[in-house]
Amino acid sequence: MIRERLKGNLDLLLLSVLSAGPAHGYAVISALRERSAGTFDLPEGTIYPALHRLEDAGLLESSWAEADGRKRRVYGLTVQGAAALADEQTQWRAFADGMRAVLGWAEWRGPAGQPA
Amino acid sequence: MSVDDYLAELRVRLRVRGPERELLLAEAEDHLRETVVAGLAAGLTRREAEEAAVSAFGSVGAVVRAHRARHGKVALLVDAVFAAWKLGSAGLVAVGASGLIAAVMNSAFGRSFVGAAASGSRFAADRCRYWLSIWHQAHTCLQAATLESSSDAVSLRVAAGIVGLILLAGYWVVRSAVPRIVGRTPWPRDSGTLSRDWFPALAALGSGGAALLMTVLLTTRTFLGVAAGPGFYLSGILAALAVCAFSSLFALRRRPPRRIHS
Repeated sequence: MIRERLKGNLDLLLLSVLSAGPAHGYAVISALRERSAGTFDLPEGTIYPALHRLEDAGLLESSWAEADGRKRRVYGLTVQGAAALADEQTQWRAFADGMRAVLGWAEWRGPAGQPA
Repeated sequence: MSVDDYLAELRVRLRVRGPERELLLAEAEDHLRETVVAGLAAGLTRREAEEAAVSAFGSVGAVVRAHRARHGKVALLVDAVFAAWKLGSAGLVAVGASGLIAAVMNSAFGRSFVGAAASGSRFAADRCRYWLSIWHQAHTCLQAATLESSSDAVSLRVAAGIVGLILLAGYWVVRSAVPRIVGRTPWPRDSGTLSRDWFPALAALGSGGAALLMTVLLTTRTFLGVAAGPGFYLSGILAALAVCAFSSLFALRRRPPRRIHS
């Protein structure tokens, strides 16, 4: 269930990770796993198409560098990406506050709606 | 599975062309090698580190599906338009080829083989006058009609073939040359699933269907227009079957190899 919800919010998570600074795919995926304490853990290779899609949409930009004799693609947030991230974060905060309020009230009242 | 084996399978199954494929593979390799290094640093053997890296990256199938899913509905439409352009152009070239076959049949078996009018045909007087004015060697309207039909079966089809070649050249210019010159793809990037990956299969299906239809029309002696000689459809059937055979071979050769690792 978490994995299905993650697919719908992956773009926001990737933009958020990259708001800390440019990084290559491995570092992005590792940061995603660490910051979520292992909760968000997709097959690593499936995240790259999401990064490419964000780049196609103009929210990320990438450049190629050399590392350990290999080509390495580094992604960074564009101005448009930063704006999109700020907008999404605002919407998510409002959504999360609403969910917390409803779920929190139900728990306090108990399953039958009576005071706990 | 080793990283090298994984990348080899990904290379075949990724179905992305040219520079983009190499960049995707380079990115995947960088990720996998870095994961292996982390595994070795954690005390794993090389084999264990490579297997762990491949496992964490995800199955080749899952990665290929994720790359395909990257393209949205507009990209799908772009792919469909390009596929239709390419199929239509190839179809016209095949029609041109059937015209050349009809020309050979005219020489080998006589004009009646392709252009003979159906028995009992009647033609308008002005058309007869026109045909007789062009075909001086004809003594009757029927002879003139046969010469006209057998000639049209060649000239009109070859003209269609030339149009098809021009359209195919235009397709290549738009698909390959323009992005190279401009430095990017000026329209929503598509996966090429229909216009590249499935094109040989679609061409085989289309040409096979056309051959079948013409065979039915020939055997039921259903002729559209003046020409009613067997060569009229036979030339088309032969061209369609040749395209079908070539496309089928190409489609079979492009299938990915069986996976050698589970």
